[in-house]
Amino acid sequence: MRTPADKTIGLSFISHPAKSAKLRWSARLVFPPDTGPDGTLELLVNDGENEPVASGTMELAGMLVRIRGGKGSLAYADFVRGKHEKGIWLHRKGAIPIPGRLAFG
Amino acid sequence: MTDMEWHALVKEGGDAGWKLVWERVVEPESRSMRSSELMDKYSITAGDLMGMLYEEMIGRGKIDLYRGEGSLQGWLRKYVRGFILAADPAKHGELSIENAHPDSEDGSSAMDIPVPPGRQIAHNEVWDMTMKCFSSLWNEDPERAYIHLLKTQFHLSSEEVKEMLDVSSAANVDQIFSRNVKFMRKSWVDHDKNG
Repeated sequence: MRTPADKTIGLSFISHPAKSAKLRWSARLVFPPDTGPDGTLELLVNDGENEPVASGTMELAGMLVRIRGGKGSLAYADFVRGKHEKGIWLHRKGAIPIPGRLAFG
Repeated sequence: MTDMEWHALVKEGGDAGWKLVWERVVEPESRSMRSSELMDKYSITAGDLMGMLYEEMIGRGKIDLYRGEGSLQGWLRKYVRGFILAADPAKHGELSIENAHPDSEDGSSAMDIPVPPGRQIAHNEVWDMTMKCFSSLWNEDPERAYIHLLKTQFHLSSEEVKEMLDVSSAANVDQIFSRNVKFMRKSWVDHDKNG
């Protein structure tokens, strides 16, 4: 298990449509180059107005990732372990959870 | 063995014909000076080319287009060379279910791709349909969607994908990718029928 030695890979996820831009979200999971099983992936989460999500929890790859100031982190090994998990949600206090999906492109 | 006999074996999709495809077509082309440098540059392996050629010939039925005019080896080699040239990231604005890019994910332009005005509507429709098919792929198995994305958008070799997602082998990645392409094409037809 290792990411490519000379490339940074960023997978994008986007929310399903929601009524307000504040409820919508987009996320980017960054795989640094040459990262092995003990490595960590950075998760960057913005709302539909392109502002960092101040606080929340992202459900991704079967893990709950705590988001603070638009950022969170996920163990690379956990992501690979949960690569078959379909559920992607952003949970925020006082707001309904909004599901999302992997973006193509 | 004549070209038409070889053609019949290739069309059957079995090892006998495809072993010769590897030996006479894919391997020599991937070792050639004109292609090896580009393959390194675009991170594609001979195994990737084999998978693409199989998908094109068997999956899409292109093998039926061979009419025996010229050598089968030369005819197949043109496809392989085409795959290598098409791996150039600068060409990825083409309308293709395998490597379509977004003009718009949320109404804003995510990537500027020069599209002639008359083709803009068709381009957006293709993109919307691609997204539906990709969502269907995700619902089948997210790992398949990750593999599709890493191969088509990030141009990782099968070996790199295997390492990154901890898949059992590069050949397995090739098989999954080949199945993905077939699945996307079938989804396209299904979505088209059902609106």
